[in-house]
Amino acid sequence: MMPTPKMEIEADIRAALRSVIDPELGHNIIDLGMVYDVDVQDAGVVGVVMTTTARFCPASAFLQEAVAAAAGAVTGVTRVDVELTYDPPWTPDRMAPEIAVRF
Amino acid sequence: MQMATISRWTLAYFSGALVALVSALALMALGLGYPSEGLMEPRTLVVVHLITIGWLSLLMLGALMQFLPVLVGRELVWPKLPPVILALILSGLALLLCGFLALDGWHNAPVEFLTLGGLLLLAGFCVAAVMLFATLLSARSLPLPAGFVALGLLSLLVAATLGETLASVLAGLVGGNFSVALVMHGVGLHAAFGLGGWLTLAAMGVSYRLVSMFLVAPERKGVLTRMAFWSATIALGGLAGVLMILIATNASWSLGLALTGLAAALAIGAYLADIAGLYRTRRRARLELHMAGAVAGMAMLGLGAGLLAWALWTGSQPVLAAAIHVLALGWLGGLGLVMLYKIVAFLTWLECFAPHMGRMITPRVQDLVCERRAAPFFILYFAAELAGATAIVFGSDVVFRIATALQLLGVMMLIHQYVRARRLADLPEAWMDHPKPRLILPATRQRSVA
Repeated sequence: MMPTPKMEIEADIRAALRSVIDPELGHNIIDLGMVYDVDVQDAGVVGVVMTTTARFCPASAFLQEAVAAAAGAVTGVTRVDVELTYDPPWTPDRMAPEIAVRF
Repeated sequence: MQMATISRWTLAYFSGALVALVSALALMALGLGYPSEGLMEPRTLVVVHLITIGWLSLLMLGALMQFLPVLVGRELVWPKLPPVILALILSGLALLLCGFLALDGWHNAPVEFLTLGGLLLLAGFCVAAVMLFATLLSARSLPLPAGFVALGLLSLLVAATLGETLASVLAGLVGGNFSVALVMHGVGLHAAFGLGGWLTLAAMGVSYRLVSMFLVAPERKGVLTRMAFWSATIALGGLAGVLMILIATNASWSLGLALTGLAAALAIGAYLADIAGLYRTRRRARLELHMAGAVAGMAMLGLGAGLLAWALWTGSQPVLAAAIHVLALGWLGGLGLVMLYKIVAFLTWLECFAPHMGRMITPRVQDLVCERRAAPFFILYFAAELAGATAIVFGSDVVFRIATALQLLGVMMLIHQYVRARRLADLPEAWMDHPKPRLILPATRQRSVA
């Protein structure tokens, strides 16, 4: 199947979010499984649903802003809405297997 | 969604606390206070209050101002109060210490300094407790660790009130049979509410959350956690009962004290077993230095509680003094120093690098510290604590002073590590030119995400 422009933007956003590192765990938020959903809508409007490893961590708002900045810098993105959720909460089982073995 | 923010005054509290710790250790190393002098001598009281109010209470209040919002998911209520509280406590402590020295005839200073200092301290602690209680009550639901903190704050108020009453007795403003009974039986209650109720319960509450976060371990909500909490509540209730009997009859209540001791032992046992469970179920295989050091701190709680039980059973004053030393400087102080190692780096990272995430490659929190350099000083600190406590038990003043001097050296070197973290001195080369923060009072931007 040929990737659609929306799928390409989503892939670029996920690649961009790999530059956002969780300060405590030292790995990027994609591999840590902290990004639950990237939804690219018409006209480059993007919705990201994410969590943090610790509830109410003082770094939460900064991580939210970092995701907005990294995703917003992707070509084709006109607006980014980042939703922080703890439902479901993050667990280490969400990590990519290659990260989990080095944890 | 509510989020925790950076507490701007926390580092100022920590700085004041470390100055008090260094001062207390230096005085002890110079031979002032127990064991060179009696347990209730004025200079012993100076050292004890430098440690319990200056070091431990300032440290705990600074930590709670940062971490209570994290615990309950609400911002600190009345965030302009922390500098007022700090000023009240520092000025109150200074007057209280002058008052103790006045008992010794120091520069003909008036002993009323004791009452005035106690009053300022009581005011500072009341404002702090009201601010932190209001933050707790603003939460939708309270996790069990927050319950420990609530019990701790209640104990703080009782300890401070009892302390102010004792200060008035020492200053000669309160007399009669009540004053005699209070000096005879109230000092132990004052220490139990302060070291046990306030500092230990608050440290338990904060550590439940922090240990779970740092080890990436599932939060504890099981039987042991509930047993620790309810046993602590019963112990505190027993202590309150003993205090009321003392006020009503001017007499001690041995059965109440025994029940309190049993409940406290159960609470400590359940807590330590629960924390061991947190370490066992952690997903982070390698322990960072602060979490390895926390094990030593927790072990000191077990040792201190054991020594306390031994002292109460045998009536031995040196063992009692050693138990208090281990609980104050080994458990609370040791845990404080290891947590500071992480918290200072974390707050510095938040201030310097968090706003740049997503726009540049940022370091990890762990990149701000050099564990290899700091580890020997933690080992020195805890080894000196054990040596000092042993010297107290065996009555060796010289060994105690040498051990305390070594403990002071360890603390000074650890403070150097904290300063290096603030100065970004241990960062990899890529970030060496990053603008450095102010040492004590961060210029944080106010955050509130609705």
